[in-house]
Amino acid sequence: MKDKTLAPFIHTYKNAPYIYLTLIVALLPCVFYSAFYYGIRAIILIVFSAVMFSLSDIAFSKTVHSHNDNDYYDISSVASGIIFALMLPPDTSLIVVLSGVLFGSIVIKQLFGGAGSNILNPAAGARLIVEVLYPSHLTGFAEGGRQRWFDLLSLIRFTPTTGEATDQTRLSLTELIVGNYSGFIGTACVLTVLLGAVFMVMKGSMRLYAPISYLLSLCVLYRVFIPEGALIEFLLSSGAVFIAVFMLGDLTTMPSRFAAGAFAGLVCAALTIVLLNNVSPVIALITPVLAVNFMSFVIDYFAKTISRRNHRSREVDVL
Amino acid sequence: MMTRAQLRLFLLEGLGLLLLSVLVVIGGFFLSSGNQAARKQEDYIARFASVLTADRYEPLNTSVLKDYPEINAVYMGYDEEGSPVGYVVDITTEPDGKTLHMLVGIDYESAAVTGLRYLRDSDELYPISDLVMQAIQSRIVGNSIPVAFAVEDQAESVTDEETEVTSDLIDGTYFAQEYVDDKLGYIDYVEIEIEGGVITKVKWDAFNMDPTTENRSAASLSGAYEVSGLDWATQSYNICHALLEWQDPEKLAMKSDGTTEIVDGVTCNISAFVDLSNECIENARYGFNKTKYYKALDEILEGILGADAETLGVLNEDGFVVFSFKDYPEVYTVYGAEDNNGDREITGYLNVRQIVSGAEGSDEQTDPEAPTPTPAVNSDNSPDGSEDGVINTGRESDQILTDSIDDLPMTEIATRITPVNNAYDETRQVVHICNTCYKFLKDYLNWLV
Repeated sequence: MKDKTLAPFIHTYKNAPYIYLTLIVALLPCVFYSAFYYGIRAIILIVFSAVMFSLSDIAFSKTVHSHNDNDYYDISSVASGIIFALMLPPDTSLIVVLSGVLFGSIVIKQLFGGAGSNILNPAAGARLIVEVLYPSHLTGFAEGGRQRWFDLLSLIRFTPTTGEATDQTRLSLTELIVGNYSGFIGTACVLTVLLGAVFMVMKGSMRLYAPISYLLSLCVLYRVFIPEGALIEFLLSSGAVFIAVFMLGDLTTMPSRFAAGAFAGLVCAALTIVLLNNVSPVIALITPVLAVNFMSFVIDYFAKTISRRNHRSREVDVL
Repeated sequence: MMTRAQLRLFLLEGLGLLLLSVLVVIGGFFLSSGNQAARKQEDYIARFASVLTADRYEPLNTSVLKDYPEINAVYMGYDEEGSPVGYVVDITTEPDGKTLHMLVGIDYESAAVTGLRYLRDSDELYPISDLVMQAIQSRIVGNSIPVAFAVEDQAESVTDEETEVTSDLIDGTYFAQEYVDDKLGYIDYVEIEIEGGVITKVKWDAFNMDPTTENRSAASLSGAYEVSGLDWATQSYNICHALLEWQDPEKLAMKSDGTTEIVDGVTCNISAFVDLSNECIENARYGFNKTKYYKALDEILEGILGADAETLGVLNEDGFVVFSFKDYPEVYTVYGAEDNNGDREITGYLNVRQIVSGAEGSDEQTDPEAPTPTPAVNSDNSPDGSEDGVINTGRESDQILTDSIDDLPMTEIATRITPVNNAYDETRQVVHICNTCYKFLKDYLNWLV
């Protein structure tokens, strides 16, 4: 344990805590959007998820003594908790949140060695498990607006009583871009997601290979294989942009090389298209992320071998 | 590690990002709110137009809704000029563990149901076929709420429209009035309408021997006639509705002092009402309608005074025969044999139909329609209890005696319907939904009933 070193292997002041701090700050626009649109219950969901994720990580690592003094101060739990909460419907009960948090923290993260050692994205794992376990309890897409800012009953009501998400095909482009419709609490406003992405790129905390490759591939493949589908509406309202920025841009669980990242984005998009007609949209979007997380080491390895064969070394230089 | 300057710069950048996002989110929200409002109205119109036609719908935000957990939401419909046209109530009940989700449209002015729609959007649907739903809609839509069944104690569905009413009453308007006036000069009368063998309308009032004195109900409203409790007109209204509900004067459970304890708001003496109602119902069995009744009165008057009511000038402006028979008791009294003192015991009284049928020479022993005088006293000394306000539990027809439906007093019921054939429970559930809507609106609007 004493000899273990944690990814990402960075030797500047832009270390892991800095990267995760950047990520948390980049999520603030989405957090503000959710608070403005859905009110106090959205804030409670986000804070609860972040706090419980951190507490679970700390409690588990203390229990199994996996933490040592050489490890950096881990705020990735807070980031994972926020990302997970932002992908939930507004009328989600705290029990559902807690279930996802415990799974993401313990099974996805801590059992693989904790901060920096996890193969899969904990937030993605948490979101997937609650979607599989509680599909009928994740349908509370209440309309936003001031009149429901102080409605807190949904936090304790296991089964939501509100309606389905807005039909995207009836939304105007402005509404789609600014997120003025009922959807997941933090993913609907594409502008805030892109603001976060710009901030992370500026701070050097995000690799763009996989996200750009993913979004471009998704556009092309969607148009080819689902020609009757509404591409713009899907891209802007499904949460694909949020996933591209905050999951496929992750430094820990995604390939580090350009070619590997681009390939991972392509694979992720292809899997999404395959799944889209067969499972729920959330599963179709999250499962490929986890699949690519699993493959990232292999993809990275082959990408490195190929680059050496050509006598070229293209290490990550964005930081 | 970051230096302090780097940290400060980082925080400033973070703050800038947050401010930028505030501008983007709030600006974007107001930019796109117009579209959202228009789309919402499109949704409302698509959803509610079948139950209430309006140009615009707005949800009601009221704390009263918390008292009605079955009501999901209530919307108010407005016309083009912004005037309210009605309400749409989104309500879900769970009879037998099944889901009955309905939209009910209610007119703003008349509280009439403008539309009913069963939203089949659940896995466990309460079974109501489209055909039955249409039949229920045809009974309720257009009528005011609250709603009750014409015969609320119908426990099971009847199988055929023709056999739905087993009553032997003949349709028509029937009338009966007291022979003598009371101490204030009022002569009570009851008028009953029978449709489909069911009593559908009842009126109890009294006209006065003095043509300048208004009817008792009008006098009670103006304060000229006073009784204990509610004003007499309201008590009359309540007792009439009770009879409409129960269809049988015996079920009013009149006590020996002429009062009843089972009809809300009725404290006055109802013996005249019960007697006259019974006479009307008996007349209905023989088709002895109001026209025949007045003709019979004319015959009686001709028999004792040699002229009909019009000739005698005892018809008032409303057409009532304002005549008291207190000086002619032999006309309607049945006497027994003389005793040793030469006195004759009163054995009963004849009603108008019986007097006329006797005058026409019918043989009471052989005529199946032979009049049976109303006994002067109860010949059976074992009381059945009803005279003291107790319903005889031995009679099956008396088992169900409700004075309310869905916690609403029967006196408030605005519409009476017959249940759909073979669909009593289904009709009852829809009636319950309508009445829940009424209760909500009553609370919300502070209706004074």
